[in-house]
Amino acid sequence: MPKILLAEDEEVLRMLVVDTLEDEGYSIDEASDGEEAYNLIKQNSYDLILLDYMMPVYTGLELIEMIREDQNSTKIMMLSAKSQSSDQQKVLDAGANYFMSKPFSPIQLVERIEEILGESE
Amino acid sequence: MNLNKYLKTSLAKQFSLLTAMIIIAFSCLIISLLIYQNKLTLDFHDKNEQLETKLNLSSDLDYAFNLAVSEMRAYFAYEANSYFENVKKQEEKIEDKMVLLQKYSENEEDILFLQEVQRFHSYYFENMMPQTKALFDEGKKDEVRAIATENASDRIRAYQTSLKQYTESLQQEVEDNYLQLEKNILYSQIAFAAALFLIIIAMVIFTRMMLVRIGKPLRTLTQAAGQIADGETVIFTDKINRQDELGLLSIAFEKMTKSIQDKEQDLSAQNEELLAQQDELQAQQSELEEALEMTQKRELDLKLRNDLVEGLANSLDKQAVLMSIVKTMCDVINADKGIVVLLDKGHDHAYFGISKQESRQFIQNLDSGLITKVILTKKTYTIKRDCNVDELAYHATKSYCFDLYIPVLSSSGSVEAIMMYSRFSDPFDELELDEYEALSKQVAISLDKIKIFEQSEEERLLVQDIFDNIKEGIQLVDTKGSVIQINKKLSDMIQSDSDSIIQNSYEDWLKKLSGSVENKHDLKKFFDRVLVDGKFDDPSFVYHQQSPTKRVVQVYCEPLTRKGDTFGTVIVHRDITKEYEVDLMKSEFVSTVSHELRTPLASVLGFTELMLNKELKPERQKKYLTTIYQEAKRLTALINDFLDVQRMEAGKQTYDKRYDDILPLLTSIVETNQINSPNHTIHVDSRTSNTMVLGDKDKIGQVFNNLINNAIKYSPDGGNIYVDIFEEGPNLKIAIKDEGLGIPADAIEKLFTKFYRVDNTDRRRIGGTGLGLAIVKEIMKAHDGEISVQSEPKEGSTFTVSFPIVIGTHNPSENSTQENDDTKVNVIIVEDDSSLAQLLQTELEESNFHVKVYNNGETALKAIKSEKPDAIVLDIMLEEKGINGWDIIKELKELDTLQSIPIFISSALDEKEKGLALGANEYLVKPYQPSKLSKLILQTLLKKDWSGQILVPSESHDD
Repeated sequence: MPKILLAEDEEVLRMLVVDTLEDEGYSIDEASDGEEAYNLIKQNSYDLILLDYMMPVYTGLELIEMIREDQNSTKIMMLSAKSQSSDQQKVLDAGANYFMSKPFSPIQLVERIEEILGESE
Repeated sequence: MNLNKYLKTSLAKQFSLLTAMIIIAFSCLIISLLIYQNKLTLDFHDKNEQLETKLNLSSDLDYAFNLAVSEMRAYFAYEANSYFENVKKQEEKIEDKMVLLQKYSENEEDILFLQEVQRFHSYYFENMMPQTKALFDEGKKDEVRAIATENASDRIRAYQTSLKQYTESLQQEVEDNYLQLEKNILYSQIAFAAALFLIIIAMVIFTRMMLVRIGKPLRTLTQAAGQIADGETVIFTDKINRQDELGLLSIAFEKMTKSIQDKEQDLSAQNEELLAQQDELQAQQSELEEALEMTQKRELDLKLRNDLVEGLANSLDKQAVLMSIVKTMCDVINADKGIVVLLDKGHDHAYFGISKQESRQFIQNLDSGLITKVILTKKTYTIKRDCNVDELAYHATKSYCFDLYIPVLSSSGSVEAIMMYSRFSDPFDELELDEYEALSKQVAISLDKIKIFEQSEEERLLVQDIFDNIKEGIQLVDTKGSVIQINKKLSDMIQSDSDSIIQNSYEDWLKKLSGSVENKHDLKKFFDRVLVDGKFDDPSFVYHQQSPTKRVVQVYCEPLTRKGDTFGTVIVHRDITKEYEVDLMKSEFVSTVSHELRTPLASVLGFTELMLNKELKPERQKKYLTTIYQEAKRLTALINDFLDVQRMEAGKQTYDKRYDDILPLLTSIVETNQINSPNHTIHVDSRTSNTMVLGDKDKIGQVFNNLINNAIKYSPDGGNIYVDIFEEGPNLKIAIKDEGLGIPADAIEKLFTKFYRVDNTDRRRIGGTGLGLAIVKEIMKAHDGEISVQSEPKEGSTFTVSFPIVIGTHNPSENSTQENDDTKVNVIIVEDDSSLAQLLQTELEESNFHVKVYNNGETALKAIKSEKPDAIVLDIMLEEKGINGWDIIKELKELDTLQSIPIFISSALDEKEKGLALGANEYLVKPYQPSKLSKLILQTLLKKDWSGQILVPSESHDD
C-alpha cells in the first residue's frame, strides 16, 4: 500500500484530499505545517509527498529544498494556488517532480497519483 | 638832367650820393693837405739846399781867399815859388766858385756879394798880386811891406768882413727858411682842420636837410592817415611834387585817400541802405530770437525729459525707479520737496525732502481733498499757500509756497499714481503745467514698464515655482544634450545643486545621474536613442536609483518645440517608487488573493465533485455540504472585503449614518464570536451610559467584528478578550484587548496598510487577506473617528477605536412622558401617490410623529403656512398642473417664518444636489425604507436643537 504524506495547512482541504485518497486505498500521513511535514519525512519513507505551497513555518518551496538537501529523492507533488508559470517553474527548479494547481479536481488528483505511482513501479 | 632825375627818383640814391660826396670831399682835403705839405717840404729843401750851397760856396771862397792870402804871405816870407803856385791854384778855385755863385745868385744880396767878391778878386789878383810880386821879384821888399801894410791888409779885412756878413745872412736865411716852413705847415694844418670842420658842418646840414625833406611829407602823411583813421574827411593833395619814394607814396596816398573818400561816400550811401536793412534785420532778429528762445526751451524740455528718462530707465526695481522719479522731477520742477505714490493696493511710494510721517499722512489722505479732485479731473493742479513754520526756516516775513499735484495717467487713461511737489515763492505758470503733464506721461511709461516687468516677473516666478514644486524631476536639454535648466526636484534626486548641472554636457550629466543607478547601461541606451539619435519612439524607461534613497524612477522625453521648431528635449523623471511598491504589493496581492480564493474554491469544487461522483454516506454528505457552505461563506466574506476596500479607496462607499446606540450592536457581535470560539472568554465592560454615535450600523458592526475576530485569531492559544467602552474627552472609546501574539514594533506602523500582514512564523498559521484593519481604518475615518493600537509581542495587543460623542445625555426612558398631542412633532407629508403616502404616514405615526398628508401642492402650501409644522416630507413630482415640490421649497425658503422648517425630499428623481442646494435638509431617492425617513427626521430635529427642548419621539417605541 503506497504511503503518501500530505502537508496542507487548510484543514478543509486536508480533509478533502485524505478522504479521497483513503477511499482509493492509500495510506496517508497528515501534516498541517512545514515543520511537522519535515519531521515526518525524516522519520518515515513515503512513496509520494504532496505539498501545499503556502504553509506556516516552512513554505512548500523551502521544504523541497530541505528535502533535496538531505539527498532524499522522494517524489514530490506541489499543490499550489499560485498557478502562474513563473511560480511553477520556481517549484520545479527547486526539485519538485510534479505540480498541480488549486483548485484541483479530487478525481484528477487520484488519477494523477495512480499514474505517478504506477510508472515508478 | 639825367643824373638829377635819377637822383630825384630815389632817396637811397640821394643818400648814397651824399655819402659819396662827403667821402670824396674828405679825400680831396686830405690829398691837398698832403700835397701842400709835400710841396712845402720840397721848397724848403730846395731853398735850404741853395742856401747851403751858397753857404758852402761862400765858406769855400772864404777859405780859398784865406789860403791865397796866406800862401802869398808864405811866398813873400819864404820866397818859394811853390807858394805862389798855390796862390794861383786858389785863384782858379775862387774863379770857379764865383761862377757857381753867380749861377746861384738870385737875389740882390747875392749879387752884391758877388760883385764884392769880384771886386775883391780883381783887386787882389789883378792889382796887388802882380804888383807886389813884381816888386818883390825886384827885391823891393819894403815897398811890398809898405803896400801890404798900407792898404792890402785893410782891403782884405774889409772883404773878410763882408764875407762874414754874407755867411751870417745866409745862415739867417736858412733859419728863416726853416721857420717859414714850420709856419706854413701850421697854417696848412689849421686850414685842414677848418676845411674838415666845414665839411662836417656841411654834412650835418645836408643830412638834416635830407631828413627834413623825408620827415616832413611823412609827418603830413601820418597826420592825414591818422585823420582818415579817425574818420575825418581829409582831402589830401600831393603838394611836394617829388619823384622819389615819398613822392610815390604821397601820390599813392593821395590816390588812396581819394579812393577811400570815394568809397566812403559809396559806403555811407550803402550804409544808409544798410541801416534800413538793419532795421529790417533787427525786426527779423527779434523774431529769430523768439524762435531761438522757443527752441532753447524745447531743448531744455527735451533735456529734462532725457534726464527724467535716464533717471527712470536704468532700473526695474520699483522703489529705485520711484525714488529716481521723485528726485528727477524735483530737479526738473525745481521743487524743494515732493512725493510720488502709486494708487495700487500697496501704495508704493517715494519722497524727497519730506519726512516719513508726512508721507504717511499723504498716503492716508489719498481719497480726500485735492488729491481726489486731481484723480477725478486727471489734470495737474496747483495752489498757492502760506509757508508752514518749518518751511519758513529763519525767515520772519510772510512767504508763499506753491503746491503742484500731478496725476500720472496710464496708457489706458486711468490714474496710476499721484505726484505732489512744492516750490517756494515761485508760482507755476500754464506753460510749466503743460510741460509737467507731458513729463508725467514719461513717468507713466516707466511705471507701466515696471508693472509689466513685475507681472512678467510674477509669472516667471509662478512658472519657476510650478517648475520647482512639481513632483516630477524635470530637465531641459538643448539639441546637443547640454542641460539648459533643471528643477529643484531633479537636483535633489541627483544630489547636486542646479548651478553645477546647468551647462553640463550630455556625458557629464548622465554620469552624475546614473552614478547610483542599477541599470545604468540600459538607461544610457535609452537616452542615446532619444538625445543622440533623436528618436522619441520609446515611451518611457524605468530606472532604479540606489542612493541617496532607493528610488524607482520613470523617465520619459518629449521634444521641446516652439512654433514647430525643436530646440531641445524636456526630460521628465517621475518618482514612481510608491506606484512601483504598490505595483509589487498588488502583484503580491493578486498572488495572495488567488491563493485565498482558490483555497475555499478548491474545497467547494472538490467536495462537490466527490458528492457528484461518489456514493457517500449521509453523514459524510452532510459534513461535505456543511463544509461547502462554510467555504462559500468564507469566499463571500473575502469578496466583500475586497469590494469594501475597493469602494472605500475609490471614495465610493456610502455610509448610512444614523444615531445609534452601539452597546446592543457590540453585545450581539461579542455573543456571536463567543459562540464560535469557545477557547476565548470575551468580557464586555461599559463604563458609560452615553453610547450613542452617529454612524452606519453595519459598518460599525464590521469594525467591531474585525477587531474581535482579530483578537481571537491572533490569540490562537485562547485566553481573555476584554472589550471596554468608556468616555474620554469628547470621544467615546472602545478598547479591545487580547492576550495573544502581539505585534512587533516595526510592524505597527504598517498595520493599517492594506494587504499588509505581519510576517512571522507564528502567524503563518493564521489566514487572512490583510484587509481587515485597512477596512477598519477607512470606516473609522469616515466616522470622524480614530483607531490606535498598543502592543507588546507575546503579551497581546489593544486596539482602541474612538467616535465623537454626539449627544450629551440621552436617556430614552424620559421620552415616555411626551405622549399627548400638543407635544408631538407635527409633520406634513406632501405626496400625490396615496399608497406611498399611507405607508409613510403609518411609519411616522409609529415613530410617534403627528402626521398630515396633502396630495396637492397649493393646498399643502396653504396648510404649511397656517400650521407651521416641525418638518415637511415633500415629493417633487406632484400633479401635472399646479406647483411642484421645487416651487414649494423655493416659496418656503423665501418666507422668514417658514424657512427654518426642515424639509425632507422624497422623490424618484435623483437630484440630490439640486434639492440640497435649494435648502432641503435631506434627500431620499425612492424607493427607500420608510424607517429611514423617520430616523432622518428624528436626527435632523435632534441636530437642530439637541438641548432637549425639541420633543423627540422616543426610539423605545421602535424597539
